[in-house]
Amino acid sequence: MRMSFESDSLDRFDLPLHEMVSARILDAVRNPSSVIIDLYDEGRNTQTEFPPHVTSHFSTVFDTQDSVQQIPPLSLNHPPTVHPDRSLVRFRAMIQDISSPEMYLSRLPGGRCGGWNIYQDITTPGSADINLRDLRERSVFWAITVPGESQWHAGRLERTLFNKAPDVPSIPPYITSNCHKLPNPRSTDFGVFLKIYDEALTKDLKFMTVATFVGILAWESIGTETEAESLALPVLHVTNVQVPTPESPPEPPRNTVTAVYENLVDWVSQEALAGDKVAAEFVILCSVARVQSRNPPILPPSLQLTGVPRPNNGSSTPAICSILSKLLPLFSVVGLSLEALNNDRFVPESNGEDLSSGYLQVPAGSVVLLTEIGIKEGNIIEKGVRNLRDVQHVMSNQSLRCVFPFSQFSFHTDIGFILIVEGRRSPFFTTDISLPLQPQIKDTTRLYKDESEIKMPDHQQLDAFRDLLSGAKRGKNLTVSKQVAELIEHDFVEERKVDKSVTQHDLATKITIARLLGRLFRADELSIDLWERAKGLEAERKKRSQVQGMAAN
Amino acid sequence: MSSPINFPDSDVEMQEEDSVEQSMLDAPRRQPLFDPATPSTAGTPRRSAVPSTPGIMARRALGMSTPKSAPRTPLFEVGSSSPMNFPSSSPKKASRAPGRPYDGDFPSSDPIDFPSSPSKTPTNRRGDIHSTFSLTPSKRSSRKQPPTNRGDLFSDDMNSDFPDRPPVSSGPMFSAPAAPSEDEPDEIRAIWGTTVNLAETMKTFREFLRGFKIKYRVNHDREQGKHRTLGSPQEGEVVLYEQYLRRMRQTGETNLNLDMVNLLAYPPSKKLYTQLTKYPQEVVPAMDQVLKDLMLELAEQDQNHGFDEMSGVQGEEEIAEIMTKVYKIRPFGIGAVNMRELNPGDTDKLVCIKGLVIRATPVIPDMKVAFFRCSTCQHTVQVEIDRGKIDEPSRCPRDVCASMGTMVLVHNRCEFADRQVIRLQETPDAVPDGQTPHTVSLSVYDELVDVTKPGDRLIVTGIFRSVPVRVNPKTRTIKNLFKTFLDVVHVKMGSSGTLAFDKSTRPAGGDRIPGVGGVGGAEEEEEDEARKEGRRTRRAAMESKLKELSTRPDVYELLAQSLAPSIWGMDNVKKGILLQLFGGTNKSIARGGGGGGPRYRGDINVLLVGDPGTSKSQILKYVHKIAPRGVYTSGKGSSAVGLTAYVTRDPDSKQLVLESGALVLSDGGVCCIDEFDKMSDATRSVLHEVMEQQTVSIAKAGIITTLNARTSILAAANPVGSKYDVDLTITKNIDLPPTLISRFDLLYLVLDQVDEMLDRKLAQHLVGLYLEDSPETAGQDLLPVEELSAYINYARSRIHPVITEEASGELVRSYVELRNAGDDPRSNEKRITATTRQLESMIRLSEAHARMRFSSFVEFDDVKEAYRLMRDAIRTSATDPKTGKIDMGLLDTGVGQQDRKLRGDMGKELLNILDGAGNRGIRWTDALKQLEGQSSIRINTAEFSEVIKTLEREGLVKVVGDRERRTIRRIEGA
Repeated sequence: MRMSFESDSLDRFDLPLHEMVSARILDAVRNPSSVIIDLYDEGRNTQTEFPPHVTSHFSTVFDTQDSVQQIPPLSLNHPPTVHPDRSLVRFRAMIQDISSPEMYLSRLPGGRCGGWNIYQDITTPGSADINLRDLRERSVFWAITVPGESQWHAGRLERTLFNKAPDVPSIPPYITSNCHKLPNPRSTDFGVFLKIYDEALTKDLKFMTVATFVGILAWESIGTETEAESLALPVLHVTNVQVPTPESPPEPPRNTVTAVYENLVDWVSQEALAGDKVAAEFVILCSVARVQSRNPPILPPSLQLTGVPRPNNGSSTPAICSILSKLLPLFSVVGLSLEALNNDRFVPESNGEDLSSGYLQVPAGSVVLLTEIGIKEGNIIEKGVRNLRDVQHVMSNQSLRCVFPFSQFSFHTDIGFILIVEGRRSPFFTTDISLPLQPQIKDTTRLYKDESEIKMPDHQQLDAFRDLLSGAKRGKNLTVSKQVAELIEHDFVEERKVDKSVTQHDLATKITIARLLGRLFRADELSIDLWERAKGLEAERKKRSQVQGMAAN
Repeated sequence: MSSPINFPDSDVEMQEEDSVEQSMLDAPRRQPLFDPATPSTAGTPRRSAVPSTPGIMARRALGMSTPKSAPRTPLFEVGSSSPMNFPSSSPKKASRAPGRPYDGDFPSSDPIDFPSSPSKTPTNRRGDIHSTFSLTPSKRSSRKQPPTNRGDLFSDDMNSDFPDRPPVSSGPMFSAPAAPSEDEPDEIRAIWGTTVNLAETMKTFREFLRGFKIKYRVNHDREQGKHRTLGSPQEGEVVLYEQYLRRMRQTGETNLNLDMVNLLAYPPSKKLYTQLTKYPQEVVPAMDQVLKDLMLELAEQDQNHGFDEMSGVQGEEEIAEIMTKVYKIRPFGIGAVNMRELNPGDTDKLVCIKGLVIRATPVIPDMKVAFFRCSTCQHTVQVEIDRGKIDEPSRCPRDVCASMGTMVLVHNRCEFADRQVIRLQETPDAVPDGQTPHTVSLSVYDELVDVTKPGDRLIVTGIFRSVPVRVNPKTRTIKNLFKTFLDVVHVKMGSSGTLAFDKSTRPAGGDRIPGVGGVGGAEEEEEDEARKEGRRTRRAAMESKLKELSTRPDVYELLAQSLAPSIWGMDNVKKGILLQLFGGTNKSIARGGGGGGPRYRGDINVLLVGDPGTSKSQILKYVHKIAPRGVYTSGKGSSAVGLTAYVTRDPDSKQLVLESGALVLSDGGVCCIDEFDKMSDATRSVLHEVMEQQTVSIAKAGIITTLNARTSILAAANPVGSKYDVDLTITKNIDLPPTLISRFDLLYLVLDQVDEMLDRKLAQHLVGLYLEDSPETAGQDLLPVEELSAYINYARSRIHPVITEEASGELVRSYVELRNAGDDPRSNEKRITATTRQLESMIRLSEAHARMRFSSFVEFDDVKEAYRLMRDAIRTSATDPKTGKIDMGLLDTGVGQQDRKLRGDMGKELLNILDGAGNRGIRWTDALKQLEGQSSIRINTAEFSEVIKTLEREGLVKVVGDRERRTIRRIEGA
């Protein structure tokens, strides 16, 4: 019954020989099934549960970053089709759906190991051989490649020995048959069933958690006996899981931070926003915001860039999309159009027991850019209206409301929203911050261009940008000294004296901007400079809005 | 063989009958036969009115005769022993070897029964059990055989076994006798692999049914810390299950719902609880058997006692009918566990889970007995289902024939049962944070088929099964994957989970949700449920936490703070809204005209009016999240249809269906309406009905109905000119009819005033809020939304405060004070500062405040706080800007005292002018000018026309012409 494992997964990759590879790692990578069988046979007489043994064995073997990197990755560049059957892979993925657990026989007739699908089917003369006491539960998840993960970021994390294998275009992307389970059904993302035997591993796995799963990849037909045709889908029998702890990027020297930030603003404004530096600053600020507290709700501010002219011809994807995907690790673009609104799913929805995904099912820390440039006149049907309502709900509450049959579930999200709007204000959404774009150069076609036309900074610079942003996203909050707090209070009181229409919302926005600036500059404390800078930005924004308002009247 | 003397317990029975009657005399309200505490059979949701034996539908569909139409011949078997008989009906059994497992004795395996008589007394083939035990129903033996002859086990029968059975006259006695443990060495039918003696189990169960009285349960509950008082001591002496059995006989019901907590409560039957939970497969059929035996026994006993409906031919028929029926026990009442707690260890055990039906298959005919005929010799064989499988005989069982592979299934002589597969999904309240709901399959059989529909919340009790999945149906190869499902034995429709509503809005016993099918059942549903669950879930922890919280001295402030933590200040508004969430108690006058007066609402309505940008909408959104059944709607977007209900055609069934709008959806909760002023008049007019009558009337597309909308309303409105004009009255500032405004208990003005002190504090608050790393720990502690919500739900459902003497005195005093506030010593005019509406509001607010403290009495301080809030709200909203005095007339009629006086003066003056002008009258504009000349203040044209309208109505003046040429004439003689 034992299947043969002529795994060549390592042979295909050019393994540098000078690397000292421990035999255990090699064993586990080359022939994971037999490792499990050996473990099982060793512990056959002990009374303890088997799955935790597997977990502890595999996590000791792959205890360092280096050793983990020796496991072939399962990713967009290495889709399931290129891996030989039953090979050990690592899969960085987001949990898209959690199924009800399954029962399996942990000890097969003949005392063989029942888990990890080492022996796929059992032929029994009668049910007598089956001891129902050996039934155990395994958790079943559906995990997908992290939606919206930028290529550079994925590459950084993959950072493996196998990176040397050039991404040959000959590997066709694997098109999953379950494309309704992808946030963007037209992407090349794919999903894999995860079967987790050790209950302890599932503790931290929640809806939309991102983690690295190590396990044995196999193709199995999923479906019940009643269905005549069942599909073969990739299944990962998990041996251990790594829920990533946020690694802090190299701390840049404080004195260079300001320079990097200014360069970044320059680059973004020049390449994507027709020279509008204020707009570039707001875009950057909103992309590093995160949920600070849920009760009371202090959520990332959503931004709409208004008055963005339509492209004369060609692509309607603004250049800012390409720029941000080069800068942010998790970034998705949703082009709003009547067709998309009326037909696509924006939030996950459960049909029966299958949870279909939606555009907004993205992991925490993502930035989603919605463009309203593609909107034309026409009807929005009920589904469209519901979509708009759902998007607004996520935007203002940072919680994803998923529709289940006869019930509704909410899941926390942490998504930054940037809206690109053609008119004076978005007809669909209200955002915390609204900023009219003021192109500094006449040629507005520069707002739309292909990725190839973008002038990229050198690698070092680009990496500095990226580190600045991801550091700011994770950075800690600043403290505020009594003196500055008093200054802020004083400013507010004075402002109110002059202009009655100033509300607490204005003050809140200003403080938020100051806070985000502080995080970008790696400040520990809110300084007067930062506060002044925030005030300046906000004043500029207000001025523009008023000018725009007056122009309209 | 039959001698009535051998009914040893008849005396006791007699006495107990007496006691039942006695209690009826004492308490006429209580009718034992229609015990109000148990659901009436008429009310149980059943697919068919006729009690059906298993498979009746399917068999009818197949054109087969049902057992009912042809009463079998049970008498022919009297005395003869079926190989499967239990001791109760077969003394022969005693000769069995001890310890012999109970196998291989099903009738199906006895070839002698076939082929000539395939149908006997209906065998109990429960789809939900799949037992290896197929028990024969009892023969009508008890009648012919005295109980003493029915096996040694029952040699002494009840009376002697119960020497210390409490006499009826004695007070409640809770020590029921322990089960007699006579070991029967000859006869041990143990459940395979265990030491559970089935005969013993049956005997104990029999004693339980005969001996269980309500007082045992009351006592048990008391031990669990739950108190219930009985109307009279006799009530506790009612032998519950005998009553149920009689009712089953009268109604033709065949299912008995068995609350397993009763098994625990009755000391002798305690171990049955565990046995039933662990080995339902064996114990349930045994119990079914006992039930039937007892049904017969009771029927005969009643016949002997000459009960009315059991005399003569009728009684004989009754008994004959009982013989033909299959009786089933439907156990329930074990604590519901979460679906995700079901694990492989629960396989084949009795479990109870809760969930939401998301899908149900059509009825599936499930083969119970297969009928095979040998194609060679025409010999026929019946094969019963065994653990979900039917084994096709490979060869003809007749030795003469014995040909291989000749047995052919004859479909229309097989027996089928109804079966349905239901998918049950976890409800949001049971799912841990960040998880998606799990789903489990249910198999329901017979009476339970089609009882539930998708969308129902259920509490099901059933046997947990795991069966292997085959690679494909034709092979024996199985996957290493097991399908799990529940074979359901009992279904109870649950009430809502998250959509908690104020239970006092429901009529008592009105929409009771009964257990399904059969007699006996749920008594105190929700509370019971909560208690049972409380034992094992975090709910208990939460409950004690809430109670602890309620004892904090600053609980009021804490709750108000937590209501909308990001909004600074507005303490009184928050407190008012907090009390709205708790609500007053609903009252109705039970006696009086029409057998019950109107219901007085306990709902508190709140209106916020104020400048834009003062976080009104934010407050509404908070409330909507916290409130039970909170619904949020914006006045701008909602038409009358969206608020009330609308009629649509269901796309599937093409039937007209009524869909509820926001108001109906929030029935028993809070409806938050933003942009109240932007609402169309038609929509708003609906609110008049809702706020006072608490109903919504619909007359659309041929559907005329009145729906309940017992909802509190929290509305927010902006002033007319977007900015509140402090120089105008509130009615002028908001474009709302005064009649509607007066229906709000609390009306708050939320003004954005530039005030350096306030501004500074606000800025401080925001700086602290936005710049702290974790604001929730910053100085003040706040309750998370869930906890606050739980607190409010708990208070609303459990606490119904009563007004104390002291509080009522204070209420009167406060009301008088509020009315007197209108007295102005300098003038003899009286302003109205409070009306009875305000008194009612004050009562509601005091009740809400008491509820908030988890106090069951409204006390002095509650009224004080209610008065303070009222005054605060009145001060801000009903102050006449011209005089600075409180005037409720402003809210009630829209015109303040000062204005009324002004108008009166203007009218007098105008009459004077007209009198001077003579017959021709005076032009409108001239009159206005003349008046203005006399007056020290500017005359408002609108006010002027208002005055003229009044005078016209009074018949003093007449206006002719229109527009510029309008002329006012004095009417002569008037």
